[in-house]
Amino acid sequence: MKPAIKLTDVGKDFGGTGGKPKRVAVRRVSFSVYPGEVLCIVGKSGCGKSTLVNMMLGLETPSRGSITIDSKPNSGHHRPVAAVFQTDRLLPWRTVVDNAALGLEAAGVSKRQRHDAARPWLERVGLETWGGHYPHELSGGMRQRVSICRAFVLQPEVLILDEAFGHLDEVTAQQLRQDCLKIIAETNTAVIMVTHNIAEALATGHRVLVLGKPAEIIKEFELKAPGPGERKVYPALRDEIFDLIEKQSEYTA
Amino acid sequence: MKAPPAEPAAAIEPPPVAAQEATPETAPAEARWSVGRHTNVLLLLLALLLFWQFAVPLLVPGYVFPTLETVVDKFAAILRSRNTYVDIFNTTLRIIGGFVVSGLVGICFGVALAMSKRLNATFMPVVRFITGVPALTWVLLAIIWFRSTELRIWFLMFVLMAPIVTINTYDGVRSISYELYQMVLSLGPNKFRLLRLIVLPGATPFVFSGLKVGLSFGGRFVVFAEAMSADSGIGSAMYTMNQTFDIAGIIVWTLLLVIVLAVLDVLLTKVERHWFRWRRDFQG
Repeated sequence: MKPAIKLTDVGKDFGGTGGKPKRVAVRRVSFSVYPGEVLCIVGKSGCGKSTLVNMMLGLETPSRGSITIDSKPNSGHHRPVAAVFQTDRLLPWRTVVDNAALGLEAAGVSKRQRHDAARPWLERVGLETWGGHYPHELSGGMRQRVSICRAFVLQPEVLILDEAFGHLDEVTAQQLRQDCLKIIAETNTAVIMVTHNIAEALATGHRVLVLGKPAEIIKEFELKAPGPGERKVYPALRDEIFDLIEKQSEYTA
Repeated sequence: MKAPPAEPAAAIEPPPVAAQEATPETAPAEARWSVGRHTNVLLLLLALLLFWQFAVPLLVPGYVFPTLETVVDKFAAILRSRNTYVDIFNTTLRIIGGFVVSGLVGICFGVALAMSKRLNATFMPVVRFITGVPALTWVLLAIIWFRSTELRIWFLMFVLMAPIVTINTYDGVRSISYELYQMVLSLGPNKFRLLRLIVLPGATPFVFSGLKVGLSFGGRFVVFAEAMSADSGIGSAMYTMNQTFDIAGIIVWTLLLVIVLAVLDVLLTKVERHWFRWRRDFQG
């Protein structure tokens, strides 16, 4: 099976021109994620996770290495990579349905078609009656559901969950995570979940990558338990990953 | 003994967001004009009119500041003249024309300055310089440069309003949330759609603010320009009143200008309210 996304020796430097000192944000990262797989990436704040996400989204160009995405030839207006961010990032001047369909509008799809495409997803996350409302009329959890719709409407091969449940309360985060994982399993989407929360990574991922600072993989854990979301947290693994991250921060202090 | 900690959170916690937001239907009703809501303004206006009617004649002679009665009579006389409406129409047309042209150019130029570092480095100092030039300088230059009075007025409107809208639009684009901008970029829009999806709507609150300031400035400058060079319009009529020492006439024409600007401001506010129906306004 071909990986949905493959990173080969990807690195990113900032500065180094105009007398500014060069700063390595991502040293060297290589991994592949397959359809239906959930790969979790954990690391300390400022280790370069966001830069890595930006490169996968095409917002930053790698200084070295390559990112290959196995994009379907054409299955309608879709983006190969979509993301759900820590904050919902909804456009406040657009209604819920317009926000959910934003990616299709960016691709030039007609209003009717994009609304038709977005509505089933809103129904799927329980927001079918909220389509005409504005984001400020929704709770935090509801807004995050809209941002999940916005990502899935694009039928991406790769979904990046960038601390997607990090700012929600525990119960809402858990419900949303379960809903999201169900959709991921049904759509066979490759998922890269970036998180600070080691327990969340262990409970959700098929594999966990621990990043050092600057970003490079210092250890990879393959989890052999049942499907994502159904596994209990492994206390020993959690402690091991915690120690790894803590040591990294000692080295870079 | 130490008192147990108070529980302010429970006491001041706002109602759930969804409950708070059941307001789209109720908000317009709240915003509707009513005598009860404007009692203070009406009382203040009444007090001023009473002061004008009874106290002002005791303080200053009528040729310095006319009585309320004189002004009301003058108002009626001016309204009876057909030329009045032609003057009001001409001034309104100039204000709206200057507003539309300056607004469009200001918005386009402001967006371009915010999106291009090179354009910004080249033209922003020029725009800042233009905003610092006194209005009187432009009036004097316009009289020398243009023979047509209409051209003079349009030039003045443009040169005084467009930089205000440009700078506000520029600030509006620069104030767009970087996170939102990145999110839209990640969806892969082309440049035109990027403008339509995030840049223009994101900058709109600042654009409206610039348009409102521009309208207010434009209204005052157009009268100034008319007084200096035109043979029609509110400014021209005020200049005629000035030549005949008709203070009541100056007051009436000033009131007419204020009414014209107030009507335009109400219309712009209505457009703004419709445009920003997604926004939860601060209400102090």
